[in-house]
Amino acid sequence: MALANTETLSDHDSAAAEHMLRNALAVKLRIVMLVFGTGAAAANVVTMADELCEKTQLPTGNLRHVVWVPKMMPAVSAILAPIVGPTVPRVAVLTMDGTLATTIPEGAPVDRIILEQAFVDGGL
Amino acid sequence: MTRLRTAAAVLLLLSATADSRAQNVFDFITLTANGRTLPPIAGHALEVDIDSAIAINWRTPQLLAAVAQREGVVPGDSPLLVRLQLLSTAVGAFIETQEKFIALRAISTALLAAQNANNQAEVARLTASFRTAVQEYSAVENRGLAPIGRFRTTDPQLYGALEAAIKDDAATVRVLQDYLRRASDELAQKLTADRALQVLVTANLVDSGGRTMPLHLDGYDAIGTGDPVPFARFQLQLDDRTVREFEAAKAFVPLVSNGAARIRASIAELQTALERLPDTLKSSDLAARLEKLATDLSATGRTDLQPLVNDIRQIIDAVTALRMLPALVQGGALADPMAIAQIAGRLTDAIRIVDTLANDVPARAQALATNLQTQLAQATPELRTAAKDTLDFVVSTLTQGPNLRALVDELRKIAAAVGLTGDVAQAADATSRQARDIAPGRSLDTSLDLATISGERHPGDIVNLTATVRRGAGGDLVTIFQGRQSIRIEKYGWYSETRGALLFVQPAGTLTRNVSFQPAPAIGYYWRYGAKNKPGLNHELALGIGATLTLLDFDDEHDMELGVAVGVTFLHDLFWAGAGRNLQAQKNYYYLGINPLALTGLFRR
Repeated sequence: MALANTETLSDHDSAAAEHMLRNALAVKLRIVMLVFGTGAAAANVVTMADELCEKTQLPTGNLRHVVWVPKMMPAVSAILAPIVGPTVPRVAVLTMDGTLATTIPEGAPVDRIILEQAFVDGGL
Repeated sequence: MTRLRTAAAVLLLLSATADSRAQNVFDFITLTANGRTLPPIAGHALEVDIDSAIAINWRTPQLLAAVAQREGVVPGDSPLLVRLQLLSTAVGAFIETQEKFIALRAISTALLAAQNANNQAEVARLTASFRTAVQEYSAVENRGLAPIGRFRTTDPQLYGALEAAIKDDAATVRVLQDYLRRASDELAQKLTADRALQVLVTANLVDSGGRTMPLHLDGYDAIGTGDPVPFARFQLQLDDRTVREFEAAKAFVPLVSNGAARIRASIAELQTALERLPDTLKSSDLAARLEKLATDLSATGRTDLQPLVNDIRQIIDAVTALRMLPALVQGGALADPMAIAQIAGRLTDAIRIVDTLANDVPARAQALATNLQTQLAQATPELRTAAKDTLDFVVSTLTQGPNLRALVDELRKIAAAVGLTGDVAQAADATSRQARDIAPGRSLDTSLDLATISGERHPGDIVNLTATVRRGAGGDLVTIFQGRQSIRIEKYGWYSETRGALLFVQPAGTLTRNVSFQPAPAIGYYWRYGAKNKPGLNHELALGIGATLTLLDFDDEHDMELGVAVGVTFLHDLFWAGAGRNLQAQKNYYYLGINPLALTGLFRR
């Protein structure tokens, strides 16, 4: 399934993953939802989050964006650990200013309403 | 004057709010004009364009919840009411979310244009606006998501439906509305299982002269409408209001010329009619007996009797208001137009008071007697008997119809004497209206299309909406909620209109005849400017600039003398001033004038 609003970071090339992440976080006026992990559960979260991005399409671009981090490569971790903390959650949402708005811990229930609430906590 | 107006206001208020604790029924109604919501402003009239279509939409779930709580049919913390409340909040929030997103999209479009034009200052300004709009959007959506979260455990089926729909705000609203409708229908079923629950909405147009015209609301009456006619910005022909004003001005000429003998005679007849009323009605005895009953019922400490006590107090106020009439109608000097116009204004109120007593109060007392006998089943026999005797006494006194009707006739005669028969009589005539039953799945909404009013409408006219929620049928009606909302209609920008007035014309030079401030009816053609949400400017200062035509009599050589003048009107369209020329007598003049109907309207509205 095509994920129109999602960027998936490389899980084997740390430099490439870092480059993609920096680019994703550099876009102004955008709320970013980071989804961590691999497997069906993570993929399902990414799919649902990507769908929720569709409702914020604007002429200046989409206000919501998803970054899937299947693996915390060293360079990626160097950027994200100071933001999300030592324990990697299932989901983390960054505000338009790049600060952490909310997280959903690994193992917690996740559905579209919970993800929508997370986006709104992030600003929209 | 003040006392009568106070009494009338008390009556109207009492009939408008059956219970002082009552919530304003317009809390449960959303008014929109041409798709724009009209947020109510307490104590102020709303404002709409003169050609608007006004939608009157009931927030039925909230209304039913309030009725249920008021009557104690369903406990306030019942799952059904909690669910209704949560769904209502969520629906409102997600509807607003869509509006916020439209605003956000508009800013985004402008921001993109500024970015493409490389206009940095504009980009900075719009970026700030964009961030604000995003915050507003998320605040509203948060309000909607909070109640939805509670359904996760209490209603998994609803939560599942919302989870599937949440990626689209419109779909979310549809799901919420569907479940809200089901909950609302369930509550409606409970509330109407034993006794009918009804709503009634009425609309009347009140013009600058205080004339009241009933307006059609689909489903609530059979009042006729006309084809849609947009308000004419440039009005040259004389409309009905102008003709009435001109006729009133003509009627005032003899009054200001030779005193008010006719009015005095009519008021003497009114006094006779008052004297023919039963002594019990004129004395304080009736009010005193009712007051004692109200006090005795209050002393029982039973809160369920309070609405009935309030009903009794309404009757007391009506009786008290009637006893004020003789002094109030006779008060004031009758030799000047101002006093005469004031009396005309009082007459409408007086007729309303008497009509209420003759037509409304007996039925209300009869219903009260029945209700009290039921509710006092457990009370002492003495209280039960006293209540019945008092209310029977009220009914027997007030149903001596001929006396009260004679009083109304005399009041109308006085109205005729000041040349204002039609509108005063119309104000007292009831128009048949029909309440709608609340039932599961039944809409209570209606609309008012100002363009189809089968009569004239003018900028500054007031549409009075009243709404009532009541129980029972026939004579056993109990009002639960009642309220009134005024809406002022406006024409924005420049427009013209014709008006009529009584001028006092003073020749500028010497004449062969002694003419001093000659009273003369006149027709005026005036230009006005309607500003948005500036009622003080539009209708209190009410500046109009234009021309007048009037028939004069400066000399004996000409059968017809036409005066043409330029001038202004100001202060509620009440005062006229200007200067002109008598074309036949070839003399200049200046004038001051009043619009008699505008004057009476001031006192009535």
